[in-house]
Amino acid sequence: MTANPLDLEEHLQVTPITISPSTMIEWTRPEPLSALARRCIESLQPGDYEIYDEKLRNFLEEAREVFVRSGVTGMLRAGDLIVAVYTANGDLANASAGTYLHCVTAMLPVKFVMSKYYGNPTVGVQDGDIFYANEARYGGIHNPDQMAFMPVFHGGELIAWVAALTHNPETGAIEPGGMPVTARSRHDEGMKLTPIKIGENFRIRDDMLDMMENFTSRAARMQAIDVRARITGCDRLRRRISELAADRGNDFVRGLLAKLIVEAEQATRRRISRWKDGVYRSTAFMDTIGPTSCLVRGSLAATKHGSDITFDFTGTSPENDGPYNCFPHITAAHAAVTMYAFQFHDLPVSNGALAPFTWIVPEGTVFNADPDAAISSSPMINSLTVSVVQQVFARMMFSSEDRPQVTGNICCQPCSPLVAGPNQHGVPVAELDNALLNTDGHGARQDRDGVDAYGFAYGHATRAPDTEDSELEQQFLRLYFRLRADSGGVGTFRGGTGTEAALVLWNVPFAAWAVYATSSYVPITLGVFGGYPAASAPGISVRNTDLSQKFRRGDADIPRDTIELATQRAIQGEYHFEHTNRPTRAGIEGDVIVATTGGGGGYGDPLARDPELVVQDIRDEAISEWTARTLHGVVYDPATLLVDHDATKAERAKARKERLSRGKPWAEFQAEWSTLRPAEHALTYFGSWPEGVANHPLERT
Amino acid sequence: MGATMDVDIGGTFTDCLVTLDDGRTAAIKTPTTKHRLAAGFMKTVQQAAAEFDLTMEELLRRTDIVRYSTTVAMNTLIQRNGPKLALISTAGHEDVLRIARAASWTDSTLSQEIRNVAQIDKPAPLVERSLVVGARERVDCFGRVVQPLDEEHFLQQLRGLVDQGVRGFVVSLLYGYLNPVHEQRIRELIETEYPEGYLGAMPIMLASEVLPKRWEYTRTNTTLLNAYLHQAMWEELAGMNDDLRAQGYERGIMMVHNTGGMAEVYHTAAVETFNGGPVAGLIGGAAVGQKLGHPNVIVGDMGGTSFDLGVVVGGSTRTYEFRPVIDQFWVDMTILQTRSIGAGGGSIAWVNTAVGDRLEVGPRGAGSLPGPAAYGLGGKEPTVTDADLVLGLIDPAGYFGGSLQLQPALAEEAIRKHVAEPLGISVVDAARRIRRIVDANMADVIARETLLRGYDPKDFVLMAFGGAGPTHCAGFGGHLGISRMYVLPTSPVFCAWGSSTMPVVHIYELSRRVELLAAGDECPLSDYAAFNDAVETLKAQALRDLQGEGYSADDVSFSLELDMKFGGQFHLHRASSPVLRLAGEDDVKAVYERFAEEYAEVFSPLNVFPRGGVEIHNFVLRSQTAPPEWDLPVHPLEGRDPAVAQTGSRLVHWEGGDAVTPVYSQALLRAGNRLTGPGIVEAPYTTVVVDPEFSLEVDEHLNFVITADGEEQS
Repeated sequence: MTANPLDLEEHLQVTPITISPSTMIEWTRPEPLSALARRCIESLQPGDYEIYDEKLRNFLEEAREVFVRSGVTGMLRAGDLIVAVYTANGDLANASAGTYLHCVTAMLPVKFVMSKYYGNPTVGVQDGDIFYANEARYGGIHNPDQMAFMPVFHGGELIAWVAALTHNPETGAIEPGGMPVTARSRHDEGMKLTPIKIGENFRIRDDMLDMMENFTSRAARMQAIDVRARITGCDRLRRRISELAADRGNDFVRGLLAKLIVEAEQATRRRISRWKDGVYRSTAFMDTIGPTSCLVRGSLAATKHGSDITFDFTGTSPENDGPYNCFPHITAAHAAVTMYAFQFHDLPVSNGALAPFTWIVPEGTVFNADPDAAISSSPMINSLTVSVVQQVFARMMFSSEDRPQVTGNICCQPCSPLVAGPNQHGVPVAELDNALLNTDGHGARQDRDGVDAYGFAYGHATRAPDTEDSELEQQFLRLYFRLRADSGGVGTFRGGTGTEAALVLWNVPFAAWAVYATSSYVPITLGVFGGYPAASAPGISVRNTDLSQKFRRGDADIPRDTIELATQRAIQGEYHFEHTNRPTRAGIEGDVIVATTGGGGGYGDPLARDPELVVQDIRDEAISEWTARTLHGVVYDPATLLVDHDATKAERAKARKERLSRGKPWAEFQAEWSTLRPAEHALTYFGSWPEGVANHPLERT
Repeated sequence: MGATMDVDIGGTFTDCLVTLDDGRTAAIKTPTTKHRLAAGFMKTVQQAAAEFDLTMEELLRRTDIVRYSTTVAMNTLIQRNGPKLALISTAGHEDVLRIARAASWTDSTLSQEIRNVAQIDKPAPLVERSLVVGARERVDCFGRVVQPLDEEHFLQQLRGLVDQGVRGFVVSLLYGYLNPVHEQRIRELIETEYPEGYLGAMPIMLASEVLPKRWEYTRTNTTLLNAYLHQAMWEELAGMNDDLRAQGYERGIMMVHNTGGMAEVYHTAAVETFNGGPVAGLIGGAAVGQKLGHPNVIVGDMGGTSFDLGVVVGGSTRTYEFRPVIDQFWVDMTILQTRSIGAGGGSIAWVNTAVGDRLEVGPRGAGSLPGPAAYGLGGKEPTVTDADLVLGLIDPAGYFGGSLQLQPALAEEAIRKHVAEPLGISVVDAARRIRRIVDANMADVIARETLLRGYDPKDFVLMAFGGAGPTHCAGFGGHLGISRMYVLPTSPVFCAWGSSTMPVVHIYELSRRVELLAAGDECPLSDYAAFNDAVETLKAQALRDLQGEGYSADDVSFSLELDMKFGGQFHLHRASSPVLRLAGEDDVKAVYERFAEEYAEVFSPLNVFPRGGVEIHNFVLRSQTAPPEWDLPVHPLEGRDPAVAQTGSRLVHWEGGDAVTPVYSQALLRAGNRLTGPGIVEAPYTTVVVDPEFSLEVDEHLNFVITADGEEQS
């Protein structure tokens, strides 16, 4: 609907749209159950819920498949997406999700539209409308994550909403790739669309598409196709829900969706109730804010009482002038990644599961930054959230029947190289190397090791492309892509290993590249109950190399893993050793970029690991001999890999004795520990030590 | 034409259909002899011969063709008893099987289990890490040699592998499909070191020959599986061949392929036989559909453990697995699409207390041992068969031809304890609800398979077979609004029968990147050499194989399919090509338009985006001989009244209420008979259930045609 000139004065008097972080976090919980919804639930017949919940899941899977098969971005291929159905008031009823982040962040824009536009004469919500959004201030995570959403009408009544979301690695920001490491404020981050109507009467508006392509001209083709893919997935789901309403009636659909939310909340509360009440704490440290290496702390105290849990992030470091910031609902979204995959994996993917949670996220911290803050790397800073949330749940569940669900941390050190520019076929692309991003290690379990090259830190079933698949469209050649020895945290059970790759810019004269990653100095991925954290990740590159000549000659010393590359230095060129998180820079053909993903956290004391598993790890190249000897205390014949069990027993007894000799009374330990302080340069963005309170003003331009 | 023999060796039963030259048939079903499959097969031949009053030798001497589908490949994988293999990859990429595109457990795990992240595990690779070696070499994405093969280094590694006791080699290098020069050289090196004439000679399989298609994980998996299954398959087939020849059979054995055709054993790769049975059922469904005038057919096989589904659209079975998986491994072969869900007679009903006491059926099943509680073999949990028994739908004395006496009291007890009491409902209501849910689950999977392809299930007929298919087809078919459901006389051995309708088919594939329309200006391709060369390469392979099987070029027809996408997309869409050769711009346009049309049909016209460019990535050539000629037997119509076929009646607890229901014998029903539901028809291997508000008519071919009341009968 368009305002005519006569309405202009009235139009200008419309209250400006504002949305506070506290409103946003409140919207994560289900809206109070209306009398209509209650009546609709009660009218469901025995068996209806079982049968039609399954049918709904089928609709979601169908829409997801259509979405995935028609899109472009590698993140869609990997499974970084959601297709979801909501009640008419925007509560998430169920979803097919490759990452549970979007259970929160694809829901809030729907609630925003219902709150601000539904009755608004200048916007309104009509059958056939197509909405679109990618602005974190209005519920999203960061602007690469774009969503399409549509109302579902039947018989003139709004009965539901549907949405489809995935990540596009180009937003028109100051750097290619959507997550500009050097962004200092929101104004550096490119296209940010508040929830906006981009289509009516089931047709996409060309002017809106042109606008988006214009914003994202580094990879306009990707934008053009993926907007359509999102809408196609969304519309397929809308049609199915609408058909269901035609078949069984609007109240049936309302009842089914509402019941999913109610059931999820009740089941979540039942489960929480069986864990011990108490306060569970965890801290984790980040070693970068993007352009600068420094310490940032994420701190969580989880108070569990009855069937309620309060997450209090007090003690977290202050916001900064890099892009490693976010808003509270984004932190909640990262907590949801763990919750839907571990604690409540068998319940509907509904925001009923979020009802028992209260969030305390102090203003001015990296998790509750100023609205003008750069937040495009919000998933990176929330590695802290993923880490500490996993830790507190592990402790909470340990003494319950849910212990089998306890693991060392799933790797929360995502690593993603980006290469941009015209590819070998002459088409401009700006794409992440999704092979690395999706091969993090999995956490060790109480009875077995974590899974090697498991997937994406924030996804639960994501896929990595083959080397041939990536190289066919991207302008690099992988010198190696392999499991990374010693990357998983050791323990009685080992964290799954991550991977490592060396990308050689290839078949193009030049390209821009960057790496989005964390944890070169301090691992965020922690172990549990004596298990070690994952390894940290080096940032290595070699420029102006002689690799072309070496390839042509067939030199035998071309490195095939990172240790060999870094220690033998058979490739001639300029070696750079730096933090793995690297802003965009130019490269030429033959330049080498090394990137490594993290392993998972270990579980239990490494001295308790079965020595036979330790030597099997050596055979599988999962660990080094140093690790076997030093951390596991295993004595074996290096030639045959046969374990000397008696010598191992003695070696381990000695190690335990040494541990005891290092032991101190608590007061003595605390007194000594309290005097320790990181180097001053590491504390630039930490806040005051040790409180983590802001201690200098921020200047954003 | 002499007699024909069609065999399907499944995990539980060996089915055999023998058709004599005079048109008489014998359908035999015996338990599969897992220790030696040929033994069970020969037993079916013996029984068939007896039905015709022939000796086995007399029957085999009159037999012109034996067509065979099997699950033996699957069994070998499940037991992991294949040979010790080595994998040779490109150095630096030795972990391809362990990285496995990350979440490889999702390739063989149900969606609900995928969500339980704490408990996931990847499938263990078929090759140990210590038996994977990297060859120092590199080819790039254009097929250009970047780094030559380091032969000396490879030979050193080869000796290490042999010392570890490997029995065969799989060579799968990056871009071997574009430029196999290094793979071929490695084979020469191995053969030079270990010549064929020596005892130590070991088979070598090159990925560039087994599946010359892009993407190393699936190409390696396919080649490895082929090598892994090769020996076991061959031993099994040789045993069968020996037994048949010893009894007088003088012709070859044709193997059913998962591509929808068949070929001689000697021109069959082990991986092509995987899932042959369900594919034969699908092809049979298409063939019957064609004779009956139904181009759209859903073929549903509900057995003890699973519900297998195939879809025929417009008379064509040309829909392939989007993500073909053998056992737990993603392959990239052209396999006709069938679906399987854990919804069989043995599926277990349970109350999910985590989500509000919700009744679920499956995916866990009781298998054949202990089986449903009513079997009395130790099963304590209630299954679909138990529910059917409690409802009165199946006769405890007549189950599986009367060979297994069911115990209703055990079924009732299981349902009472595990479903009725937890839900606070009666045993009968619990049984009704189990039946509703399993029917709905099957309806859902059918809906998804048809809707995703852009079709409405209401536009299909359903052919139901398997022990439980005819018992439930009115339930799940009715759920979908399918107006016509068939239970065929060949239903007990339908997969075996399906192979009798199959032509000889070979499928040849290779990957080449051809830009059909340029990105941006949509400029059409002008150099046709890459396209035409790819097709000619495949055609030459096809003619070589067909001539080897005794066919001439005139006996064969070719069709071409292309895996295509809009530029930048990653998933390919398989489109049929209207031409085998590009000769001008009109041909280019025709290829694009066909692709765009098929793409829009499946996805949405919104997604058609030629401005992004249009690319071909895979060429798939199908060669096919004319299908065998056959006809459905015709019987005179003998009136509508089925009274003479009624053998009794029993109380059945239908969804809408209890009713004393007439029971008929399949053997006594005649063409033209019509019965109005509720009714039960008992057959040796199944029970056909005609729900209230449905009718059953026996057509002139003795097919049972079940229709919802109000639908038009034939």
